[in-house]
Order: sequence, then C-alpha cells, then structure tokens
Amino acid sequence: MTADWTVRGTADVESLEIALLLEAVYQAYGYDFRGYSRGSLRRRLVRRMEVEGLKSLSALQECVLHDPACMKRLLLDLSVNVSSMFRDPSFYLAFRTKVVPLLRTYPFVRVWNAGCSTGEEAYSMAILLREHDLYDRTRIYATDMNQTVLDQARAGAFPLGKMQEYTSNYIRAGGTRAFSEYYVANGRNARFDSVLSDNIVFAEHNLVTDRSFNEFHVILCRNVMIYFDRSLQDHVLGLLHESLTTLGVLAIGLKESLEFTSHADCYEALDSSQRLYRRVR
Amino acid sequence: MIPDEQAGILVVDDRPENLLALRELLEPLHQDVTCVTSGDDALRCLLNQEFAVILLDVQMPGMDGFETARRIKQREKSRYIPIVFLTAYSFDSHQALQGYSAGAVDYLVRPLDLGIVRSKVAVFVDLYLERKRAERLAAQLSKLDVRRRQALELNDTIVQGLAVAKYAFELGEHDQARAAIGETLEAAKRVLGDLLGDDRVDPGDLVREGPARVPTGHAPPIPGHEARRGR
Amino acid sequence: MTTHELVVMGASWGGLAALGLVLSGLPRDFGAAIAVAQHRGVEPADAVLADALARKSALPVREVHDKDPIVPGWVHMAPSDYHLLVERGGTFALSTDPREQYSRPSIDVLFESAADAYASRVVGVILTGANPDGAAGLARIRRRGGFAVVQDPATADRAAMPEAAMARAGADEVVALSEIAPLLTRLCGRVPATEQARP
Repeated sequence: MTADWTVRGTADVESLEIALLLEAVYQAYGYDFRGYSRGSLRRRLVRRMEVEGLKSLSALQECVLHDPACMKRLLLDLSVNVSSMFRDPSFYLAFRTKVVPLLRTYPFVRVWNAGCSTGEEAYSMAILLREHDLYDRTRIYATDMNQTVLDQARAGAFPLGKMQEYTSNYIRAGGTRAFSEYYVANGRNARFDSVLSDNIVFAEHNLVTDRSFNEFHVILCRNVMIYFDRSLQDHVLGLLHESLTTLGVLAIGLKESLEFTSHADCYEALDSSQRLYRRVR
Repeated sequence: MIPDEQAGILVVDDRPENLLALRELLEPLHQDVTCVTSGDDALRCLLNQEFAVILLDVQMPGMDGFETARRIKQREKSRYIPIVFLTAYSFDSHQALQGYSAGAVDYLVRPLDLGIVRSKVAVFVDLYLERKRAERLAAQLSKLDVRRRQALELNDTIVQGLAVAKYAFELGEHDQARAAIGETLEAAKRVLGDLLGDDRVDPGDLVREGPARVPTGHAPPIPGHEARRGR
Repeated sequence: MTTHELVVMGASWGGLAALGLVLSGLPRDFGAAIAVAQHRGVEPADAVLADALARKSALPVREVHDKDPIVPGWVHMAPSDYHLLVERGGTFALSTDPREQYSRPSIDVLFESAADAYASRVVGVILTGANPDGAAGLARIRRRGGFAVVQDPATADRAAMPEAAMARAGADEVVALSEIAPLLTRLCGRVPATEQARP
C-alpha cells in the first residue's frame, strides 16, 4: 500500500533531513551539531520548525541558510541547557568537603565552567568559594558557544520566582549564610551581587570545535555531555583532560559516567556518587 | 520605651554644676545618662558599658578632652562611639578636629544652646538605637535560618521515608511499608530533638501507639506525586 | 521469530502498582529490553523507585545513566527529574530539557525517541494515569510500525491516560492489566538464559 509506505518512511526521511540540516548549519555557520544525541536534538529542531511556522525540517534548513536571524534563533534553542542554582545540593556539599581542602593548597585557582549556559552554576560556585575564603584568589572561566546566553549570564539576574527553590538548594548544599544576602530584588528578577561576578570571565567557547585555552584546577561540565553521542563525548573528554592540571578535579552530572569512556583510566574518584574525579594521568 | 531600647549617654566634665545642668537638659530624652568628672573615669566607664554618644568637656585639669578622646579612639571597643566636644568660644574647631578619622566627631560651643545640644544628642541616640535594632533583627534572622535548616532536614527525612513507604504500599508490601514508616518516625524524632534542643519528643507523641493501621486500598497520594506539579 | 526488541512503558497515577504487576509477570528469560517512564516527584535520594520495583521482578531493574547500553532482559528506569531517550545504536540518552506535559521524565519523550530508533521493533505500553502524556508518543510508535498496547481503562486506577492514548493513537491491543505480561511475553519471546547478559 502506497500510503502505508509513505507513512512508515516518515521518520527515516526525517532523519535524513536532520543530517542534511546539521551539515548545512556546519558548512554555513561553523556550528557543529552532527555529534549530538539525536533524540533531544530532534525535539529541539522540530520545536523550532513549528515555531517558525514551517512544514518540514527541509524548510527549516532553507530558512536557516537564507536567514541568519533564523539561525540565531535556532542556535539559542540548541544551546540553552536548563539548570538551576545549586542543582544537586549533595554535589555542592561534597565539593565543600572534598574539593575545597585541595584548592586551599593552591596560591591561585582556575575553574572552568564548560557549557555554562545562563550562568546558574558559575554563580553558585562563586558563592561557595567565597564562603570558604577562596574566591579572592579564584578565577572562574564560564564558557558557552552562544553569545546570547553569555549576555544573560553576565547580567547575573535570575527570576525572583526561582529564589525559593534556590534557597532550599543552597541550604541543602551546606550554605553558611542567608541566601538572600547575595541578591536584591529588581522587578521580577533577583540581581546577584556584582562582587560574585568580579572573578568570573564569561567567554565564548565551543566544546565541539574549539581547542583547549588554558590549564585548570577544576573543570565543571555537568549535564552538558549528555547531549553528545559517545564519540563526541570522547572527543570532549579529551579536550577536558588536556585542560586539567595533574591532580585537577573534574565534575560531571550525577547521571553521567566516566566508565567505559576513552578516559576512564585517567581519573580516580574523589566521590564517585557525586561524580567528582581527580586526574591522575 | 523598654529598657532594652535605652541608649547610654556619657557626659564628662570636671565641674559638677555643668554636669547637673546637662543631666537635666538630657532628661527629656529618657535615656541612660552617666556623668563623670575626669578623663580617667570616662575611660574606666567605657571599659564595661556601651554608649551611644559621649559629651566631652575640652578644658579639664589633668587629662584634657582631646587627650581623653585620643585614648578613646585608640581602643577598638570604643573607637566608633561618636564624641561631641564641649568647647570655649575662642576655640579653633577646624584645626582641633582634624586627625579624628574614626567615628563621628562634633563640637558645641559654650555657652550651650540647650535646644541644639538636645537635638544633636537625640540624633546620635536614634542612630544607635536603629543600629541595635538591626543587630537584633540579624540575630533573629540567623536563628530563623538555623530553624529553617532543621525544618528542611526534617522535611527531607520525612519525604524520603514516605516515598519508600508509599512505593511499598503501592506494591502491596505492607511489612516493608510499616518498617519504612517506623524508620521514618525514628529519624524524624532525632531531627525534632535537635529542633527542640532536647530529647523530649517520643515517637508516641507523634502517632498513638497501637496496632498499625495500614491502608488496604490505595495509599493516599503524596503531595507532588501526580503530574500537576507544573509551576 | 521475534521482531520486538524493546518495550517502552509509561505510567502515571497509580502506575507503581500496575508496573509491579506487569514486571512480576514477566519470565526471567524475557526476550526484550524494557524502558520505563513513571511520573513522580523529585526523589530526595537515588533509585528509590528502581529498588522498590526490583523486589517485584525476576528481571534486573536499573536506573539509567547517560549512554547506558540497552540490555535485553533488563528493566531500565528513567531517573527522577531527567527525560529518558532511546538512541540509535542501542544506547539510552538523558536530558534535562524542560518538563513536557508537566512531567520529567516524560512518556512522550521516551516513546517518540524509541519509535525513531527502533521503528517496528518496539512495543509501546500505556498504563494507568491521570494525564494525556504518552498519547503522542504512542501515535508515533504506531506510525513507524511499532506495536501499541493500552491498559484497558476499566482496569486502570486512573483511566484518563489510557483513554487519551486510545483516542489519539488507537491501539493494537487493549487488554486488562493482568493480561499485559503474558501479551508482552508472546510479542517479545523468550531467550535462553545463556544468551542473555546478566548482571
């Protein structure tokens, strides 16, 4: 039956369209999403297609190629990662007890927050390090491939409605002060103390296509690589490894794993349940 | 006005009649006025009492007002207390007051204008009381913060325990559910003990002893379980 | 010959009892991998749900970590507060994308990605629940030639989810809760224990 054949072919046509669209985006703009996990990527592409009022991903490809503004919107869709301040409080608690003592032994600490998106994690880390009197000698490099989210991160303003959740997270994360000390209400936003961003450098960096740019004592790359397929993960793990000092600390998401990756042997666990690792070779 | 909200005013002058006049002058402010007749006595007083402001006569035998002020400013405990010098008419205020960097310093020229003395002192008293109030608030806040932490811990303990119990109920494992609830109560008791600062809480105070009542139908939903969690 | 290699199941309100019943009815040598999205609140600790279900099932029940392989004979649970997705090449992926239908994990997200990756080799199962999540996903599974099973709403703790799925996607089989395990076993076959990777 012809109709049946057409319907069953839909997803395969679609995956071909996705492959072509990603190739087009790469060749035209240099952003390489070809190694992204397809499930989430497809959902984001389809959502953009629908919002643009387009009928197919091929149409989206045409739009992206001829209209850089459309590409900009797509890029934002593809690069925003949802996060919250002190997400996974147990992780920050472990960071306080297991990593902070190590950092005390360095005269100067460089932290790389890779794939920082809108900056929630960078500000959380700034607060934590400040409470341990380490922030004055720390620089946090918070990088993302997308200028738009970096601008948002720089502003240091998050929805006021989130503060209750963040306050609970902060307390569970072992926070030692009143969380409200760190921000002032400003309309619908909570504006964070500019002291916190004094030592954060927000900069554009693409984990897929850019190279290592410094050597760090701590790298935070949490829930970023879940959007990559295995081989891209291996590539990025190579970049992170190259960018970490010997005995430097790598933090990944709580449902991510270094096991079975190309770099499993390079690390030993500082706290395996909280996904804190130390580079040993 | 409750005693907690009274400010101390220290008046230093070698002449008792001046002290008497100043005390009467400050009476309407309803604050705690302490009068002493020398710089030495003033320094002694400052060791064990807190003051909102010091009125200090410049011309005193022995240690004069400036020397007294210098020593007051040397001590960490008293260096930020505002000082109002009481001076003679010919006094070159600008020159004399140079070099005082810590805390407010002011002066009043004799003969004193009673209204001005009173209102100037009142300003310092207000400042002091306001600062005290802020400090008390901050202390209460940090107490609240501790409470909040303990409440969160209690919340986590109960939510975690009930999740285990609820899953067990739903799966029809009533023994498991009972055990989970028992453990949750024990854990909650420990946290509540911390919260109340003693060990008086007995799990029996929370749930009457007796045969455990286990729901036979479906367990009551735990808040947050169903999908209507969207914010 | 067995053509179904993956079973995806979605459940919401009352889902745990239903899941427990289905999983306890599957044999040790069940022939396909199983992936489950169960709506629930954010759990304060890891894998409480997987631990509870593991007690009911002869099959190993595991909470998925990112890029875990899809293992035949295993029950793979979506972790609390993450979406679970099926990738081509036999692995899972996780995402922290926004909730869909107020849910994370979302059943649609799991089902649609499974349909894309496994086409006619997937079976989708919609169990009890009080919202329409999963209906779009089940429709995609059917369009791609997969097999759609819906719990008979009359046997469901909450009928809204199975009803929504039937309205939007239709079903290849609508069966009582107690019939789901035998049906899945027929659809997916059994594999001699020696051929299966056991933990």
